[in-house]
Amino acid sequence: MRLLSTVVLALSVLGLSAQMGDSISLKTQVYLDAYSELGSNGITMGSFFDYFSASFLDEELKDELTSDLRAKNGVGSSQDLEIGFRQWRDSTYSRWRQGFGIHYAFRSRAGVNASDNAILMTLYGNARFAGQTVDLLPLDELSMNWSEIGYTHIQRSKNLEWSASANLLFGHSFNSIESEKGTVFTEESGEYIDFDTRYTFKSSDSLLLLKGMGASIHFDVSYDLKGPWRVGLGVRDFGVIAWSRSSWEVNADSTFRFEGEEIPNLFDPSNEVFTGTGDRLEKTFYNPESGSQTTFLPTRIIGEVGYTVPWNFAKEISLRTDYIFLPGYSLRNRIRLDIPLNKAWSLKPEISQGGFARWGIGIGVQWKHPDWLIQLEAQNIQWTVASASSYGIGGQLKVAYNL
Amino acid sequence: MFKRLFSLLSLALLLACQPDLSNKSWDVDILAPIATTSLDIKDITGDTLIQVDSDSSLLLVRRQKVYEFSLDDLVEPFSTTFENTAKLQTLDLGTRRINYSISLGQLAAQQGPPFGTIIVANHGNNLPFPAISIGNPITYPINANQYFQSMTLIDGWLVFELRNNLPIDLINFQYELINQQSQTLVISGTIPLIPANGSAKDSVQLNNNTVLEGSLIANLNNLESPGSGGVAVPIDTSDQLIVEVTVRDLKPFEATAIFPAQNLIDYTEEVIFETDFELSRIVVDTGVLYMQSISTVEEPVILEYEIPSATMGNQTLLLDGTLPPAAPGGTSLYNDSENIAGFSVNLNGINFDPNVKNTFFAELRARIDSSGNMVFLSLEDSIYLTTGIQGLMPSKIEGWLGRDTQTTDDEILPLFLFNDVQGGSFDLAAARITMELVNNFGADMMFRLTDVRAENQSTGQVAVLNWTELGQDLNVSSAQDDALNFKPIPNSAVWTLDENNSNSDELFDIQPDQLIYDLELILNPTGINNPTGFAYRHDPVEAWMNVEIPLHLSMDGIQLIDTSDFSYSELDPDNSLKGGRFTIIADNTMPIEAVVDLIALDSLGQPVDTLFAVETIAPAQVEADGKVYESVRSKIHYELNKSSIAQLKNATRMVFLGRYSTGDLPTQVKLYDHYSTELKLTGNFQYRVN
Repeated sequence: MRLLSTVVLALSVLGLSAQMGDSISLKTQVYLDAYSELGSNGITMGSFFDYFSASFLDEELKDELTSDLRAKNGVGSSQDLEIGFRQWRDSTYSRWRQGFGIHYAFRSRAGVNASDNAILMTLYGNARFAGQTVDLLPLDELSMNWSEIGYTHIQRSKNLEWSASANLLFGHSFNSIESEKGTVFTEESGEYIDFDTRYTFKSSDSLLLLKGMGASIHFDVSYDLKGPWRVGLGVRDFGVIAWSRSSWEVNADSTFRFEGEEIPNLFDPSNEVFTGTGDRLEKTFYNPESGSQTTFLPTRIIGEVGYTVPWNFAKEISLRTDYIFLPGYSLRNRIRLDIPLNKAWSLKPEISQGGFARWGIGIGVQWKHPDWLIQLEAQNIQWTVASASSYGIGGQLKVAYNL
Repeated sequence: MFKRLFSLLSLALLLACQPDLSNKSWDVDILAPIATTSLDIKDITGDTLIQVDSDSSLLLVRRQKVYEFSLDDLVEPFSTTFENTAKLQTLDLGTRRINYSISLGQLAAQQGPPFGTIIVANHGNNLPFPAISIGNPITYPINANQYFQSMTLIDGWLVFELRNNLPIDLINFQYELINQQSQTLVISGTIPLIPANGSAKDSVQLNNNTVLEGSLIANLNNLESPGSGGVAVPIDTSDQLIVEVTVRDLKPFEATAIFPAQNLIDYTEEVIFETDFELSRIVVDTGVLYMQSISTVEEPVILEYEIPSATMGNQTLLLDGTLPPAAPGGTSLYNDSENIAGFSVNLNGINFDPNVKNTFFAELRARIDSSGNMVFLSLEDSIYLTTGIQGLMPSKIEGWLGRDTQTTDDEILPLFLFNDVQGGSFDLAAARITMELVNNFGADMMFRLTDVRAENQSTGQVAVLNWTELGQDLNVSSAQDDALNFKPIPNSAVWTLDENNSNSDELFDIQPDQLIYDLELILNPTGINNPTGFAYRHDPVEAWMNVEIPLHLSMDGIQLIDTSDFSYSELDPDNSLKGGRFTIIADNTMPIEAVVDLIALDSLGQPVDTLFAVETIAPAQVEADGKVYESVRSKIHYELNKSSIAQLKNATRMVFLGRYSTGDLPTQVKLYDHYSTELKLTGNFQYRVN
């Protein structure tokens, strides 16, 4: 909180000092920004829809889901819903255009990076792996939901625009699995199973809507180089959430052979068959320790280069690279073309590689008015023409209104 | 087991696939071990029955008591009761005396002038004493209230004695004694002469319910004297005429009196200890001496019941207590008892004569002490007293136990050798039985065993024992008495039955569950009286059967059955099991093949499903030296379909039914200590993940 207060104070001082002696005009904008994306690099879009529409996964569907698996399979989703307002102060004498904003956002991140073996064992069981040592790694997962209230300082000049947000976070849910080791060997007849595992499983566990609190910052900067080039850099969701004491953590580091429950004498009536095994294994694999814990947010880093093209039909071509520190999410590169149709309308087609999916095609439509901005984007629409590829679906809606 | 693993994996996938898709379900094939166990012949028959022989081969051994003859079979619990009633006619009111005196001065004063004046005036002088006649009655109260208030007498005596210390003779002394309250005459009479310085007596029998009150009036109706006849005699006005009233030998019907200490009951009685023996002593193991009494006597009554024949250390057996005084018109009660365990009772009678047997004596006393209180007692008052011994059983008897014959016909002895064997057959190579007779009695014993047969009640098979000693006299000498340690030193004899003198192995081939025999036991078979005999209650005469069966046999379909608790919910807590099969992986070092069926029972013990094994646990191969060195692996599968799973859910117990056969019948195989079957139960299940 001290850090947050310091940042807000510094930004305010900067803003006030810049206003001294100026003639000022104010411009205020309210906006809504909704973004959703989910995808996998190991499951096709068609399979995903089949999966989504089925309550029971029969053998055919399981085969379909696993037909295109890789050694490492990412599955994940990301959602943001943000509303807020921004206000700019234009100065007659200053080269800077300054502003600030306040927003509320709900954000959700979930991702898993799982080996094909882990997915196959999950869907089919261990019987098909009898006689084999199965390496389940990688097997990592992170999911987190939180909401934030933030203050943003914005500063623009002719060539440079930057903004920084300080945010107060309210954690809603959190789960993570970090696996360092995970092999399973099932003897051919099921005589024994060897486990060699080391993983950490953390979870928030509270009936309260608010399960933790934290802070984060967003920072975006864009600079127009001389000539047609433009570069940008962004860091989003850099921060931590401290989860309440009712959260818990499981640390399992175990190598052992399970041979079933030992019954000293099968003909002894005091024996009870099939008892105690669950308890013993639970202590080995699943012995949670409760207590408060602090976790980093899945930070997103964005880099962008834009080039103003001398074409009649297009305005700019840009390359955008981003990465989220989230299991299953790979570095994503996106090439986008800005095609103005007229003064108000423009199209933004794109091709992407990475992220949750392997690759994708998207299209955006933007409508601009002196007081309105409406932008609708659809990403990863390639499944309509190439269903055999990995699945992914995403979309973005931006609505802004100048008061 | 896999629930947790699949939960983690599923959670990872589902959480990543927003929106929430956790309502998905699918089937997985789980292959997992469930249980391991090791089965050997000890598990089948019970550890306590199996012993290892010197060559590591196994023996089925059981030691079982087949007969017991104890003191309880000879002696019945002894009880006896004594009843006594004490009445008041035995009461003693003692002898009571009341003195009363009349001085010469009192006579003179009562007589008045001139005689009285002259006598008084000449006190200390000598004077001729004139003739006098006192015709007016003189009344004197006599107070006996310090002894009694009233009594109604059946019998007794009242003695009236006069001692004349006056210097003159007294004549025509007329008196009467009247009860003051009732004004009834008790006694009256005339004494013609009471000489000077002499005395005279009169007495009357108090009978026919004479009432005597404690406050009496003595009337002196006439007293005359001839005087001194002109002779001067010394005049002393302190000279007295003394009257003494004595009541004695009183037999009251009722009385309100202070009673002196006295015995109400006091007698000694000999008691016969009922037995067929001639005993000189017993030591009590259990028994109670008791006393119950009821009294209407208004005095405390002290009760004592003593058996001088019974001692423990220096203490004789004594039960004593005090009956509280009864309320007027009411009764009082007193009960007491004492555990007499440990007392030694001499049975040589009241004079401790060694020639007297089975007799002890007891003394009963009831008495009152003088309390000094005035109490009312009546002939109607009584003390009812019951004393006795209840349930006396000796821990030891000493003496001649007599010659006695105990016979048992068709005595059935349950055998517990093959309880878990439900069917099939086997053929034993040999069986050895030793019969051991243990005599703890101080008397010679003779056994005679006839008609011994083994029976399998399930199959109805009977095998009759042939043994050279059947019907012969089997003698065992008397035990020695270690009296100091209160125990016998037993004497025992052993007879062996084996293939050389019997067909003992055939008895067990039919898997008998009971042995039936006729037995005759003769105590002191010579009939010679031995007064030093003895028997301890807790050391009976015993017959033991020791069975040794070398596990060298062939078997065909021997069924062994046992039950374990079964919890389906532990196997499938979420009811997610859809099908699959159990597999038993058996590593067998026993040269016995086996088929094991699993039978599920519900809470009422009724079978709900049976998982039949279609495969056999193969027997291990016996090497040239007759032993097995390597195990043979078999896999036995039990299919689980929806129906059997549904039935398993209702099961609370699982029965393992094994059918065992030696592979190469009829060759008999020898079982060794290291033989076992290692069983691993695995499951290959279709499991629905939710």
